[in-house]
Amino acid sequence: MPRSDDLLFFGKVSAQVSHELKNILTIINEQAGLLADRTGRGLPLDPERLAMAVACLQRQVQRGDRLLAGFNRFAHAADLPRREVSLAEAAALAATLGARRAALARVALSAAAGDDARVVSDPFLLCRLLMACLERALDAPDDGRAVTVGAATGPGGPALVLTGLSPGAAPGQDEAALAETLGTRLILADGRLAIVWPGPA
Amino acid sequence: MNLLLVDDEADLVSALAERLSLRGIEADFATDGDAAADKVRARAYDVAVLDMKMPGLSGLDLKQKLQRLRPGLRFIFMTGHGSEEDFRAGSSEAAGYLVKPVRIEDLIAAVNQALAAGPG
Repeated sequence: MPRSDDLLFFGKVSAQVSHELKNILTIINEQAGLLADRTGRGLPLDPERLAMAVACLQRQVQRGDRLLAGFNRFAHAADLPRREVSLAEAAALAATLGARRAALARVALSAAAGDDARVVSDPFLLCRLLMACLERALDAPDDGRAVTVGAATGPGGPALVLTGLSPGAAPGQDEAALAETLGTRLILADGRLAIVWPGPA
Repeated sequence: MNLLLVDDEADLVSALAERLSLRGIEADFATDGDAAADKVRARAYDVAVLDMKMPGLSGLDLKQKLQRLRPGLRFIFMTGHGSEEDFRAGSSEAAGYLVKPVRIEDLIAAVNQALAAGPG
């Protein structure tokens, strides 16, 4: 796999995260500015309004913390080319990194609870494959859908499963090539795409 | 002066509208393109401040839609992206292009510049 594709992917995720962080900082900036405006003008600040501003600031700090925790996990995915990976953690990371993109597509994206499985894989390439499949799922034109991503185990082997896909969300050549590099199969059926590892979990 | 602020971050536009009102500038807000279009149909705004990236219509697409509804409406884009591509598209399509977080004084200056430049 050419390294330039990895770099492009890293840049794309970084740009999305930085955009989201800018939004968070902007909201904090405006809420703080509003409080400063009112106090600076000697205007009354009733307790209810103050509580609203505080709650907003706390929400944004929590949102930023979740985002940065995910981004840190993503950045460390490139540390080792092969290691044991929790598929549930990989699914949760994809849901975190894809949250803004899903919101823009008006899709409710969530990590599905399921049986975790651990596989030995390239965590960075796995993230690339999962995000590419997610991108296909979000690209479909019918908004208002719910898409889930989660880990599963079954007789076919451990898997990562995306549900809620549109008929047009079939994986393309890039995803097929990544899946082959990772030694996995892509199985699309009934609006469900599974990335399956060989052998039982 | 009547402003319309459009951004899918409700906590942002509501606070910004309140801050502008403290400075004597009347500002309404909307959190998606459909709500923005409804407001523009109902009221003649002087300037619309649009986020570049929103669910549904992008800022550029929304600008075209609002312009059809109210020819002469002026536009300012606000973005957190700051990419070269966004900058080229945003600055060529609007009277102002601001990168988040925006100082309120810079926003007001951009609005005044847009008004001084005449109808969009």
